Amino acid sequence: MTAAQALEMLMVWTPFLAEGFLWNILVSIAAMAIGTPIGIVLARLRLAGSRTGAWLTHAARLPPTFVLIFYFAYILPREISLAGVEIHFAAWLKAALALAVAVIGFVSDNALSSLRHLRRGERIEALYFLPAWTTYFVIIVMASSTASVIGVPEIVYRANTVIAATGEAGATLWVYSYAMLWFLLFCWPLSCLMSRIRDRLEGRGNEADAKASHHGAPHHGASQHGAPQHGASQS
Amino acid sequence: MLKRIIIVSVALVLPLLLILPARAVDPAVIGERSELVVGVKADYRPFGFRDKEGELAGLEVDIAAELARMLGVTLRLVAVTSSDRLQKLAAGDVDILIATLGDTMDRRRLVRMIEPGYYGGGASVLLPGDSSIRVWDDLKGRELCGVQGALWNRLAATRLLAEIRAFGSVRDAELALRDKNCAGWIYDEAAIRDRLADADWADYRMLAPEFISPWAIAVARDGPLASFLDETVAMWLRTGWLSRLEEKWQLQPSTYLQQAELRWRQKDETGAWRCQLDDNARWPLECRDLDLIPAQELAGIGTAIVGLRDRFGVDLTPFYDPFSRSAFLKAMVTTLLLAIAAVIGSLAVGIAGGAMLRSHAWLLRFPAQMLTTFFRMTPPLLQLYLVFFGIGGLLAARGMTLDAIWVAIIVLSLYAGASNAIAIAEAAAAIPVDAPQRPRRIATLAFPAVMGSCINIVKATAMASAIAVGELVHASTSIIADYGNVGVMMNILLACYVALVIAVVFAFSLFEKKVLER
Repeated sequence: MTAAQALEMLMVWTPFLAEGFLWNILVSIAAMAIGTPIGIVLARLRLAGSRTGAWLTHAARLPPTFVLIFYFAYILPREISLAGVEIHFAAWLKAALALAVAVIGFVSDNALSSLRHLRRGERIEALYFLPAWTTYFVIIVMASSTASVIGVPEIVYRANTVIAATGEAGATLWVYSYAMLWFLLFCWPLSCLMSRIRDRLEGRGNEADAKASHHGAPHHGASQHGAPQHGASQS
Repeated sequence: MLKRIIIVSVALVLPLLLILPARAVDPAVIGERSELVVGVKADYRPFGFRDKEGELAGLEVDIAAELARMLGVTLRLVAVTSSDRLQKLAAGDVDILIATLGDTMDRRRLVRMIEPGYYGGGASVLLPGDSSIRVWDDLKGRELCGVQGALWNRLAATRLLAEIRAFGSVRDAELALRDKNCAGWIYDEAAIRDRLADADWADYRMLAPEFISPWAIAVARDGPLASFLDETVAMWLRTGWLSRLEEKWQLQPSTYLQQAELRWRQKDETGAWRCQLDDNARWPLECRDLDLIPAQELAGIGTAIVGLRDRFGVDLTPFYDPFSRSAFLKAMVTTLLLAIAAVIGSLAVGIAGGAMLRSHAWLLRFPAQMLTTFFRMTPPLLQLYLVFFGIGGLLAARGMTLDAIWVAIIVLSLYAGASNAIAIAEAAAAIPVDAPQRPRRIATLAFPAVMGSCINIVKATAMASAIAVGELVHASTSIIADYGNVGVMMNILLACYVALVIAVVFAFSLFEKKVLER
């Protein structure tokens, strides 16, 4: 397959793949929307000295998202009725729930440090939460690609469909690279913007421990084990 | 000639006679639903596949459409795969499965198989033309690609002593065969025949089919729908409708269908069908395919385990079965090795990358910046696919092969290594060059972030299952595809990973206490 042929093929499939990327965004937004309020509640509980809050946060950090996606896909029923309301568990919702578990752990830790700053009247430091939260959204967008393994029609799943449909061995590399480009173009600028905003905030704040709050944005809730909490909880 | 004309006219008229009354189906069959949800394959030409418009089509789709028409409901098709089809049926995602599902004793314990089967076939092995494998016995000790959830994997491993590497989808197994990751691809004979009819596979050949078994429609449980389907398929065999479908889709006439049609067309002295449902809505013994691939033999403690399953629904039978048990134990070892190798690899990449990022030489710094951005800003799952299938495909064209487990180790090391490199470079920037004990101070400063990304990479090893590395997720989903013991396997899987993550957290904390804080 020549480069010109490949580009033509990618052009043809772009709307199909773009729709898939919208699914990635949708699943990620749902995960953040489910995980964030629960995480904030846990952070408040922890601020009040609750052991349950700490324990639940710890539990949320442990399971790998990839395993949880399978777990929810297999274990959760197709629909349940809660107090007369029917909830339909489509595959994308199961994926969002699995991702939300990681979000809970992340938000609980970061909101806790924010709440502590607020309590000390350090408004600007408390705002560090926002860029960190957005950066985590970017991480979740990348992690949402794993929803493909349970059949959510997001971009990786669709990339596999395209490869199967074109049936050309040479197409594989092109299609995967193109799908990667979508992630790169979405995630990179957003993540750069967030680190700039954080630097701005740091410039305004006067706490030295702020320096530690940036690290290499690990995947899947690992950042709870990372720097910000160490800095905040020790101070 | 006259005989022919009679047969043709009977074949034309019979369906009309038989289909017309069948339209008046008891509404109890599918309740008050106005929709029939049928699971079909999307990757199995010509049975279930996506046509040029992306719509599901094929022999099984035709069967589904006919059923919906007879029931007077609208049809909704759901694409299923070999590894998730039984699960989707059990979960109620589909009402009916028409998905090239072979009928076996083991599967009869999980779902209600419709008798008779609507089609049938055996296993074959697709081989490169120059392969040294000539007969089935040559497979002993050879590595074969397979598709998760296919009947043949277990048979080939236990009876033929082949090593099976089961992939999650047909496409992946095909690509792996092309990339010469295995000596051959064991799968249904019909699918392999279809490949060989295609110019893409001109250099390949197949083994003569073995392990012939019927393919059955499946429903979750016994009931009016199951009985309706039993009778409908029997009627189709009598009218020859299935043979005509076979012809429509240009399949070779299958031995199974020819024999089944003969059997179901037999009549007794009074002119009634020999195969009639008895009072318990069962077919007489002589009409049933009881020569199925047998269930595993259970004895001694095995019966206790079966009792546990039947009484409490806790199905541990896979752990009694030596094949599944050793697969699971092997998977635990693989996961551990993968985790250890990826942690060490990511630390090495992190230190080297950190040094490059801090380098004054543009030629070192710039590529390091590009690579760390690339690996941090794209999903690791795509990275695995890109390297294994994309680059692996290119290499295969030049006669080289990539080993899935090495691909996983390298990709995961680079992925986590990119985060480590940035953490180490930032820490190095914060410690003056002439500070005493500089490496230790850099390590201490970068430690929390590095620990975070290492824990993360241990979790991400689960993704290696996507390229058929036989780790825990892969082993668990394979066992579920065979046994359907979803709850037990998923909880065991989750528990294994949580234990692994706790162990890694503990090891890192210990390292911090003993080494860094001294």
